[in-house]
Amino acid sequence: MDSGFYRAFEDRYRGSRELISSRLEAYLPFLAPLKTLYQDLPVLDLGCGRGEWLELLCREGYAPTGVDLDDGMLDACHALSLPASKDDAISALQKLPDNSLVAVTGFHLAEHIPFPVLQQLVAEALRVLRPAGLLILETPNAESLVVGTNSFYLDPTHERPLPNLLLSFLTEHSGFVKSKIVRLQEEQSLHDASRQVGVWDVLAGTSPDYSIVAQKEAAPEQLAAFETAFETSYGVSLDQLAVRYDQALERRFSGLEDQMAVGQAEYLTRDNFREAMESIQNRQTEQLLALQERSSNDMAVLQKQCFDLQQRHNDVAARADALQVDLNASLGNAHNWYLRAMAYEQQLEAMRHSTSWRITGPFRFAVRAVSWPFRSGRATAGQILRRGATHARLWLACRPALHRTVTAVLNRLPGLQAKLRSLHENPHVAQTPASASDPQHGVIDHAPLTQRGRIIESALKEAMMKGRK
Amino acid sequence: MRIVIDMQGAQTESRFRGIGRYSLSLAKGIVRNRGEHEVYLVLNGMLSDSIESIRTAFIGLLPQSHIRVWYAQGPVCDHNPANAARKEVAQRIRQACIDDLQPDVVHVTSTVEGYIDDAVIGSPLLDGKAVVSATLYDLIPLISPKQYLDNDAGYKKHYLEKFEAFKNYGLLLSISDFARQEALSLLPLHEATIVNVSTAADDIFRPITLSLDEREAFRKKFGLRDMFVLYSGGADERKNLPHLIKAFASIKAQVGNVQLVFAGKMPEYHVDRYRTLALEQGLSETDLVFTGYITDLELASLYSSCRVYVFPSWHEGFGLPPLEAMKCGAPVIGANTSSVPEVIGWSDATFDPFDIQAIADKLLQVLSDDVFRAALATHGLQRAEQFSWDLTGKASVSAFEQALSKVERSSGRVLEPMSTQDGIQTLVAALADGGHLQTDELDLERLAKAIDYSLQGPADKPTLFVDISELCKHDGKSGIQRVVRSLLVEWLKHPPEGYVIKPVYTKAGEPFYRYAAQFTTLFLGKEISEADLDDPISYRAGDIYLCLDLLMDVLPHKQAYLDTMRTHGVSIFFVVYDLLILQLPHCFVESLQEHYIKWINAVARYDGALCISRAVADELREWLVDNAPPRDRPFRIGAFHLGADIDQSMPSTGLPENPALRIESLEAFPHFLMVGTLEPRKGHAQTLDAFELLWAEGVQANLIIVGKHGWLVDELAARLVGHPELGKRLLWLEGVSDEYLEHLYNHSDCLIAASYGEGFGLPLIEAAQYSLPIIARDLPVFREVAGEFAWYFTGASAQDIADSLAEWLKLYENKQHPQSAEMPWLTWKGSAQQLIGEIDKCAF
Repeated sequence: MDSGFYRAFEDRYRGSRELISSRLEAYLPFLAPLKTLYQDLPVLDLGCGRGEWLELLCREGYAPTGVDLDDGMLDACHALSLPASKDDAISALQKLPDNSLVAVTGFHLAEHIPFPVLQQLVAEALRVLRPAGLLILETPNAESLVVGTNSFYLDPTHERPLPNLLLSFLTEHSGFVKSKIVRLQEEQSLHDASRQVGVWDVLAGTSPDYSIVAQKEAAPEQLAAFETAFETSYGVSLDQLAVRYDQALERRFSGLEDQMAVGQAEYLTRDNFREAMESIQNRQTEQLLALQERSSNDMAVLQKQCFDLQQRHNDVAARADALQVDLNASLGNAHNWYLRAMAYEQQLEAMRHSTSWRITGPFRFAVRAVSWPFRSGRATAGQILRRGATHARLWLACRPALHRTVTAVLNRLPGLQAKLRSLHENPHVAQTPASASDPQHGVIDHAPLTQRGRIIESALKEAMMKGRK
Repeated sequence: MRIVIDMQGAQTESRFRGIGRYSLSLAKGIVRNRGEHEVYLVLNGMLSDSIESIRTAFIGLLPQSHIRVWYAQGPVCDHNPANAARKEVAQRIRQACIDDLQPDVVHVTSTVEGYIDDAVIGSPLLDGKAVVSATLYDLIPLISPKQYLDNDAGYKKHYLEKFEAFKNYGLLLSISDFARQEALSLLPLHEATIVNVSTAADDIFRPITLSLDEREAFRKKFGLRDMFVLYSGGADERKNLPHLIKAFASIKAQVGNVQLVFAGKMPEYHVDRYRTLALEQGLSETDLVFTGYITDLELASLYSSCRVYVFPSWHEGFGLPPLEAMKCGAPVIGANTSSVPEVIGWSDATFDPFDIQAIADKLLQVLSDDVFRAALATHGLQRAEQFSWDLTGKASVSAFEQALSKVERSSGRVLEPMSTQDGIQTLVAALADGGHLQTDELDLERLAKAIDYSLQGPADKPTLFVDISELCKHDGKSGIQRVVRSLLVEWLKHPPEGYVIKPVYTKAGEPFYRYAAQFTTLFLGKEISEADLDDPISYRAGDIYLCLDLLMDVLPHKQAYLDTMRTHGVSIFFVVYDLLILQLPHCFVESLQEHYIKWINAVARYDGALCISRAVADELREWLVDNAPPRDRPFRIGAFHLGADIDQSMPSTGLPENPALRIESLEAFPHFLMVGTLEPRKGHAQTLDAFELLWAEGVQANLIIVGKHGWLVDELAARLVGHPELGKRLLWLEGVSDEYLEHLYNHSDCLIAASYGEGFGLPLIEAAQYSLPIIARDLPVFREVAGEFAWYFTGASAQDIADSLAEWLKLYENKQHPQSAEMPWLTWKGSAQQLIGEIDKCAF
């Protein structure tokens, strides 16, 4: 295949150097005990690629070498002065003597080679390793549903997925005394028991990579140093996730069922409901009856009051009639006196025109002149007239025929009419109440004061305050 | 010289009688003959009913900015002593309003008002600066106190106060020479203080000839005979009618079948009295006729057809009826006392009113001597020409000039200009000194408002209030709001010379308007912290209110406030975008029509409408012929065109993703474009029908419809979506970006504008800007916008349109179709200028 293509492909999908390095640090706990057993620590990395593992090992004090068939990759390693050479994995191993290496590693190599070649590789590795030496092969974990069905096949150079049990059986069968399946690169939060696991996690949460870490036989005390690393559990498996998911669902459902049971216990049964409604209805009926009784009592009281008022009204009307009769009588009387007065007046006229009166004229004048200073004013006469005028008008209003005659007479005497009107009129005409929305009373429009208006208002208030002091 | 005329004489109940008519006519006469001088009118805001008719009467004579209103808190009538404090405050406010105008001469049309009404005229001594002048009508109440004063003590006191005040006026203009002499004899005045400016009669009085039918009807209505002696006027005692009746009765036998006619409304009492008297004197029932109330025109007809007009009144201030009669060509005889001989102007035509025999002789002479009668008529017509309101106006103005020059010479008086601010301070100080602020009767807020509205200084640059209420509330990006925004931007960035632009708005629940200060600041892109508060607006006479937005639901609620603005002197105009809802009701939702009718009826009550095209202006005029409410003021209609510079502020971009929606996917035939929201009014359905006919005939043409799904077009939309030609020769693009629209314009071959009605026709201009040929329906508005630069079609059926299109295609092939590139259009700058020009023309 075109190396340029593979390079570009790797660049996109492999991940950055830093990312790879950080992942590879997971293996350091396995390799660390080797430092206690041997002085020199030669490690061979098969298919070293860009050399991240080589770089890490160098840093940690090991003596790694790497082989790869890709010139582009090798150039990258040489650019960083990493010990890499171009060679095939099998031939590189075959060149080495027995018991020469402390570790043989191959990251994402196994899925690229056919199975017979892999078998040979494992066998050669066993030969080449010193006692307690480690073989580490990392490969995609097809246990993850997403990996096994889809993302494994992203790389067109992958052969077929290698189930973890296959690789572990292979190493065991080849003669390694210990084989551990180490799952890696899963989402860290999945280790937290409180994290909710959903369907997607079940499908895709399983550790996407795993490696087989196999150890060559050695003395028990040598092997004991590695126990911690080997006994630790790593990664997340598919069944773990599925079980967690089921359990969570189960808990939720049982929780809901409990709540439902509680609710049902509190819920009203149909009979209870009917009973409750009946009691409410009974109470309401009682209240209504009480109300009805009260209102009929009130009604009786009111009726009685009404009847009393009616009685009193009748009494008053009767008295008014009686008064009317008296008035008529007195008016008749008045007319009587009027006639008599007329008669007297005539007599008086006659007397005035008589000679004896005229002769005594000058004498009377003298008497009047003397007593003039002691005469009182005419004020009282006006008041009496004013009072009489209202009564006279009322009296006239009850007699339409007389009223008409009087009006006709008055119309011919406008002066008299005017005088009577002025007597009768109330000098103070009732003021119309100031309505809130007419311009006559200063309400111009319904807007609040403008800015200038507010200034004027405060000036007025100020002037008013000053005036108050 | 600046003259201020107090018009309260024409505002009170007097406005229906002689004093009111004299005041108004005198003011008009002065205004017409003012020459170089300036005239202001001041009106009393408490008598608001009368203000509109006065403003209307001066249209064309005075700009509205010179008619001012002052306000005070009423009631203030003299009748009620409880009003005394308010009356004094009102007097001061009125005086402050007048002083604020810095007049040289103040003329009071009637000094005796204010007893039973809210008119207020203070003593002339309140005015320290100007020459105060007043019209002197007559002093009849003083001369006959028994008749007029002694009944009512309150009125007597009021009148005598006013009478005393006459001494303090700097100038009195009398209505006749007799009135002048009378005043000089009763008041200690200098001769030069009273000037006679005379009176005139209304122009409606002129010789009227009736047709035979009209004469018959007229005669029947009033029960007239061929020959009658006419009298018109009141029935007071001084009119001397009993003597006239007696005199007439005495000559009746000698003159044959002549009637005596009394014209005009008289009180029942007098009518009865005179009838009885006539019967007693031997006249028959129909010899004395009373017409009751008659219009001026009927009166003129009576004058024109009477045998002789007789006016026996023994005391008059002027005596208008004989002048009216003379103007109509009637032979006139009258008393030789008071002002009547001055009016008639020929001693042979007068008689001694106290002598029944003299009256009788003169009547007989006139009725039997035809030559004399003819001479009287001719003399009357000539004499009447010496009385006109223009002559009176000129005489008044020269009296003012003389009085002013005398004062300036004697006191060396120099008018220092006083600002309105000083005026307010002086007024506040005066009110405080007078102790008015201490009483509880005054509402300080109303007082402050009254002062704010009354003292507004001499006329200045008018303000143009632009109502943008809808835009302030929410920019709905409709066509109308685009217009409002564009005009507003133009006016804010380049304010027109003659106006101060103030955008204003109103909210629901507030029956008044506020300045849109906050909105404007944001609109211009400045920080909101720079904005002032939105205060209520402050308006003055002469300002203009223009409603730019379409506020169908708001206007009915704000009418009270707008009416007040109008009374105060603001001209109210509305922009009318179209009358489509009335003309094409089936194209709009039903409820909209009701609202629109309410709105347009409200608009018709105000001062005018500015329409966005001459076509709409014509339509509005037509609608008003049948639907306009009764009004006195003319309704001004103006027209302007909208701007067409494309709004480049934020052009939207984006091409349609679906390749089937691209114009390139159609066949390579001529592309016809239609742009606009789908609604029944735009005529898409008919155009589609036409195209179907063309396609059936095999014509090569593509139709591209660009427009969102509007209203009442579900059927059309379904038709388009399921059309067999969709994607081949037909495209419907529902929402396109400005970028893609430009692309369409550039690649199309013709724009079709098939609307049944439009307010303006912006799509045509858009097409012209891309030099796209246009096919448009033959509407007046399209003709107005596109003129000869478009091809027009008419027709109710699709076939007509199809034929027209086919014709155009033939022309197109020969490149002889009308081009649109030269079509003239306005930018928004030009549109705004045009609108200001129209406002200038329409403003009162």
